[in-house]
Amino acid sequence: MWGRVVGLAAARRAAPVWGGVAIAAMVIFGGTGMHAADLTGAALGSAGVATGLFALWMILMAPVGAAMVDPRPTAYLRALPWPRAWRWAVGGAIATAVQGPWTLLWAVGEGASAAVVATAVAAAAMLAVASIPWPAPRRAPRWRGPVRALVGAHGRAVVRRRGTALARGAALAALGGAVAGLVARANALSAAEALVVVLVAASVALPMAIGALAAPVAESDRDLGWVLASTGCSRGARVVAQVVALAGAGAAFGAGLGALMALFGAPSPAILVGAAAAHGAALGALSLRVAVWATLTSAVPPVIDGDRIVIGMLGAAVASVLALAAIGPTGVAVLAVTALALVAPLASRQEAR
Amino acid sequence: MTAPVLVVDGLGVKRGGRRVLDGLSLTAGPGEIVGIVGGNGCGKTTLLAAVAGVLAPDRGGVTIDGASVWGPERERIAARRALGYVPEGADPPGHLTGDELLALVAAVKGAPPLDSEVRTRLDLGALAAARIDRMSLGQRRRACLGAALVGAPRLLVLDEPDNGLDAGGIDALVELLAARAAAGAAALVASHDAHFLDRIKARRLSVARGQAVVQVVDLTRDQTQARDLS
Repeated sequence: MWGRVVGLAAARRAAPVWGGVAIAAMVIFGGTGMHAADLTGAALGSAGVATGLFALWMILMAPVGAAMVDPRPTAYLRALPWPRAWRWAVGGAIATAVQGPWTLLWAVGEGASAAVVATAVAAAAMLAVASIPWPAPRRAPRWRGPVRALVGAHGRAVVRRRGTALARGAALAALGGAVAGLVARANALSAAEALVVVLVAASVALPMAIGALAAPVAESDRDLGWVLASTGCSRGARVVAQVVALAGAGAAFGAGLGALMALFGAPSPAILVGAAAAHGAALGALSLRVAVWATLTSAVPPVIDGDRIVIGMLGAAVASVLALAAIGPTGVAVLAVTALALVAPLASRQEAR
Repeated sequence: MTAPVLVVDGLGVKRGGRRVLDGLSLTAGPGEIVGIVGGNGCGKTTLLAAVAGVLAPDRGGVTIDGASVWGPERERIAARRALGYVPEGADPPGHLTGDELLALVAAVKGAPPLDSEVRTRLDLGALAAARIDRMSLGQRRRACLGAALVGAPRLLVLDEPDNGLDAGGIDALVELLAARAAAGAAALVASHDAHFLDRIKARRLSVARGQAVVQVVDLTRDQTQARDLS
């Protein structure tokens, strides 16, 4: 029973990570001709590469570790007379099993012994990282105005409730930037071509990165409902705060993606960073509209349907790529205007009565 | 004659297609504490939520210091900034700390930070850095009472505020309500505890519901003002 509860929770979080890693592996090991041994060899030869690779894997596995150490699903089971050693053994086995892609990388690259060591280290580190308590804030904030206060509250909701989604989004943006950088380096792109590539990379990587933040921001606004209704916060301020929070996160992800691409030697770094940041901001604004749709069409409102957010953001990714293919970078600007046009009516929506 | 702080006029509310309140009226003057009593499910929480601007009525109106809670945008905001509300569940977002909740409410209301004496009386210093989802019910209630008192509101709307509070917390609540009443504020307090309502010197109104009927009875005036609203 213990294994089923913890194992299912871990598997739910691990499945999208495994899927994403599989897609990334196809791009890295298929498109560039790189082999697993090249990557593991680089890690063994350089402490910096090893640290970066391990940190990236820990970021991806952080949600899995968090699900395993979350005491709520096992609260009742822990009251039953289970031997502690049995719980640790089951937890250790699950933590080891979810390292699958990492185990495979080291097994193919360096052999069975290296895979055993790498897996054990990763499993132990994942559980250790997930068990670290977040420090309590030391000073009370002094917010000026409702929008700043709400952005602060939403930001705290993302970091404290879904910090792992934030880390995963950063990892996705980094992956997009690295792939775009590899493409730029391999093809000696011009500035105009690099602009298209960075926008394509942002269109593919950022919707999923930002979409994961839309639910906690919308949930934060929903949970603040009675507080805001009884204190005279306007609907417009609530919508603006959500847009600022999500567009800000999208802009940060986009800027990171563009900067990483530029690090690979792509031309016109400032334009790449600015364009990707602007595109990320537009996708962030659009994600709020998607979250509202996911709430309104949820089978059990006001619970936000996460599957619909994924579908909506996949739609945004497809629309983004199609717009780029049809009319180039102007298509992204059209998408940004469309996003604002879709979000603006939310601010004027009145309370009932 | 002093103008009332709170006027509820012919309030009607439906929840889930069912009429819970029908034509309910009451007033509260400056310095007056009105205790709402009644059985489970009679509509006390619905009444307080509608007064606090959280649950929209389908008929009637609520005004606080002359501003309509459910009127035009400007009046809505003015009315709601003049009130402090603690719901029955005392369940603000769990990811915030006690201090962050107070700062958020102050920022939204455009009010100064909570008075230090009130903070001390409610022992909010101990909750300053604690996350709300890790607080007990009584601690959450104290944090919500602190948030409701930000900006020294003209009307306090408190739904079972004594529920979950320890003896010291109830003493503090009684003192704070008396202090707000002395300052000319009004309060609408729902409670099942007659002793608590005696301590806060509340004029009691009984809300009763039979089928689609709501009766309001003023018990302390020793006269039945039962209104059959069917």
